[in-house]
Amino acid sequence: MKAGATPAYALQGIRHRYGDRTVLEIDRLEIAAGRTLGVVGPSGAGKSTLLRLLQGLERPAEGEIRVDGELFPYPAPLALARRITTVFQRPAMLDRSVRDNVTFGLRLRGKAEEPVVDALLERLGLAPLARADARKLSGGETQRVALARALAVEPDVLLLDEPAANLDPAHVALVEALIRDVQARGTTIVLVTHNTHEARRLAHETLLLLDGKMVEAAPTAAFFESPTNARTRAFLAGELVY
Amino acid sequence: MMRTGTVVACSAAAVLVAVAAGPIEPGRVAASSQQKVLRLATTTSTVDTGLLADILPDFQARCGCRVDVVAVGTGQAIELGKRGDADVLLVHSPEQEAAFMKEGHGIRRDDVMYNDFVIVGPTGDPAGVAKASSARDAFRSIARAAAAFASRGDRSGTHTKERAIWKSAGIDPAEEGPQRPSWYLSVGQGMGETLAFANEKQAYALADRATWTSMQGRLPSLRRLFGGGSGDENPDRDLRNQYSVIVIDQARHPGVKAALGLQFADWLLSKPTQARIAAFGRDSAGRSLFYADSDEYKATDRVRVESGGRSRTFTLGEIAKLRSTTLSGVEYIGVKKGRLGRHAWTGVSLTDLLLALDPGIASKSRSTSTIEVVSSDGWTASFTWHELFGSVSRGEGLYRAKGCNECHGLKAEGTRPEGKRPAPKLLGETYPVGDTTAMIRSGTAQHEGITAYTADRLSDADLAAILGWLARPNQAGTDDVFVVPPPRRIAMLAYERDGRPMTGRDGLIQLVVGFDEFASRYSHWVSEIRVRY
Amino acid sequence: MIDDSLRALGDPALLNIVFLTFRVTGLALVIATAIGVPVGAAVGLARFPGKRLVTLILYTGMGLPPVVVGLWVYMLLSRSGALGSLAWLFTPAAMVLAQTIIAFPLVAALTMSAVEGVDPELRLQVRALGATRRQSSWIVLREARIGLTAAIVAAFGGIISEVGAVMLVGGNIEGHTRVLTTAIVLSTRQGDFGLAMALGTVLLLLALGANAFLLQLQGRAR
Repeated sequence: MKAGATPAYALQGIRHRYGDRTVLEIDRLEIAAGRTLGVVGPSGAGKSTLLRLLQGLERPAEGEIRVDGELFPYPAPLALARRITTVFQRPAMLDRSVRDNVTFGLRLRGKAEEPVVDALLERLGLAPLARADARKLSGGETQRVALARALAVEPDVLLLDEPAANLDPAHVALVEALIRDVQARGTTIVLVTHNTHEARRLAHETLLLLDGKMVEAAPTAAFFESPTNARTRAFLAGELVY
Repeated sequence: MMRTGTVVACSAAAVLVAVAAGPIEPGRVAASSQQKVLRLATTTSTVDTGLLADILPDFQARCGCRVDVVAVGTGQAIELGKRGDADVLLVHSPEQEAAFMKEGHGIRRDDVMYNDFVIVGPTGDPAGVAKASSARDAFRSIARAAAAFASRGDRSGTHTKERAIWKSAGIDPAEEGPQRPSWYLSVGQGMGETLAFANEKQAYALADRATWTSMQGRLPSLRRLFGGGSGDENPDRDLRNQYSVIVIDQARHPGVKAALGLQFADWLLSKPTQARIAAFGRDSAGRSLFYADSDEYKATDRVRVESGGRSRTFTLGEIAKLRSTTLSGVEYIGVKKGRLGRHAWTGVSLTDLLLALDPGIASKSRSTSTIEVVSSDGWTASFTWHELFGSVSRGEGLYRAKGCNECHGLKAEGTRPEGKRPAPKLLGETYPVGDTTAMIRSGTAQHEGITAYTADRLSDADLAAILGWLARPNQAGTDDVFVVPPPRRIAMLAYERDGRPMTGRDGLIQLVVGFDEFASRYSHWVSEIRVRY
Repeated sequence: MIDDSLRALGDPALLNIVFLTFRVTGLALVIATAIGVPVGAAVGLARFPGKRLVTLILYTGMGLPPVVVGLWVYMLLSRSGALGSLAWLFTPAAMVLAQTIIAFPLVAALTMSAVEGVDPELRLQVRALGATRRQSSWIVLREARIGLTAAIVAAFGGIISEVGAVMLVGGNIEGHTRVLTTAIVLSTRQGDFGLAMALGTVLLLLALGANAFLLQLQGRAR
């Protein structure tokens, strides 16, 4: 844990719209530093939108986001922006080799290639693919490269959007083990997933989004074992069909 | 990745810049920015024939400058001149040039050279152009046969000439709109392209002889159908293609290099350059492509006089030693050059010159004899024996004084001059006074294209006297003698004008005839005098 | 035909013409690229009111007849024109100016569409990985390099083969502003079709070489 430097998010009165459509409505949400927040909900619930706001790629139409108690400035100053990184649901690869993609964030920061790159490639089973064209990978391989690329810059905040969606079971275990290591380093993580089991395994707190609205947020154990909201119960029971 | 990207981008840019700017010989750039540059806008034919490439190096060496030749149609060349984008023009469209000078864009315009236009067409000649007596006739038969005709259509000198011929033929196929006949094909391109087009389309075309001669070998389906085998043989003088040099006015267009332009014009008109122009093409094409035509080229400083087996060449110095005569206060209406004006001329009278050759010549009086004064450009002026040594009837005197002789001949015998419409014999013919007066006064019917003889130029009484002489040439009464006022009773070779010797540009030895009103027997460049008995 | 080609190639004047062709076209291409790529990238990446209008103008500019550009440049550089005092008319500089104007919309519009063709998600990803604005633009351009090469190649092809503008503003002055295309026009006008064809072949070969070079650069940029 990087003491005192770890950001914590505080969201207040957030309303985000695309055109006339309100896609996200969060009255109040705090993300504790060094903790992992699982965000669950069906497709189109606003999970990815929330990540874009937290990354600072979009500015909420209403409300405020505070990082470490300070208002999130737009555009975010480079120093702040570089503490946060996102792994997108459909990770876009640069038209270069796997290794160059993983090194990319370090290069942006003008840093030399650190041993961390090789370690990540090794850890995620990507070493044999290091020189391969990153655009010609399978969905699962792409997802692992994207994760390696994000972790290479050792962010204080890691925003993960369905990081295990396309992975086979063996690699899911690999990735989850890696995420646990990152958690152990004190990194704040927001994990968006449609897979409630994944949230249950990794998240300290869990949040349900339905239709862009925050339905319930609670410590993970409480969220899954004794949800207070009827819609959460229905969601967990698989009764909500979208 | 930033590094390799930048390296690649930089090397790409560097290579492009190197390609763009690299291999210039450094001296050349430096030289060209300091060197004086004369910009010559000219018609395509002077370039396409290779003439300028042949003569320009001499000028560039003399002026220590570079001549940038912009070869475009005459219309565009004149436009460049009007905008001050050229220093000198070498073009061939007298009408456009005259307008250009009138608008005050040029400080000087001089004849440089000429060649002529020919009419070419398909070997089969479906319109029968080969049988035509004039260009206008030829165009009429093309229109009658509705045979394909390829027009430059680009306002070049050739196009302007073509339009003028159509106009004189009373046809306007170039008229805009649906009336334009389908056989008239306006190509809108240069001479070479138009000839190539005519070759493919089996079309007739008007071409300058120089371009035609140089391209002929590559145009198998075309033949010259009208215009004769050389400029001298061209039966229609209207097909003359006159090139002039114009120096653009610096006062009107600041930035124009008028001094250099004048130097160029002087060089172009000088005798050595003119000789080179005259010789150009003799080796490659077998004949000259242009006829040198500057005043200086034509000016001579000696006159050969020949009479009854005797001949002698008089130099200018020798002529000046003979008894001099002056002629002053005579105002000429210059029908040809338009610049005679009112001057005092000093020179030797033709009679004194002939007497210097043969002191007994006056006694050899023969009414049928003529005296021919030949110019270096081939132009000939003739006098009857009696004009110089005796007296003529009033009608006969007026006939020549008013310039009738120019077309109809010295003795009204009728002429078929090369390149001109034939003029009928008038002597011995009786013409109705009324109809003839109307025709001559208006310049219509058979006199179409001839200056209108208005009443102030030719009174009814004088016309009647001329017609009387034509009807009865041998009945001149003593009271009917043509009386010329004494100061004008002279034909002379002048070598001074207003007390000053004349320059090569003026013509060193000029023929000035006091008893002609219209200067029809005038010449800048007398080179020979022959008496024909 | 073969004789004519040999005759053309053996002529020292040809070297001059080829060299000037490359000098004028190369310089115009460098300038048009230096301005066109940033403008095209900016229009392609940014969102601003009037973007559609700018796009429309750039696309229309791609179709500008060179002779019209030539006419504009002529009027501008003529002694009685706005920039007459530069005395650029009938010099290689005028030709470079005209060709730059012809090449610019080609470079800018094709750069714009190449940049717009880059996955928008990639741009977000690059930013999320901590790229500055400049880094992000540069990376997008690199990702669009095939389209960029196409833009430069198209512009190169457009101006090296162009005759209307260089004829008008250059004047086809021998040894000074005569380039391959105007030399071809001249020999065509003189009826020397053989020489014209030979010069055309020379032009084609040079274009082939130049494009091979540009493609080589694209390949190396990977």
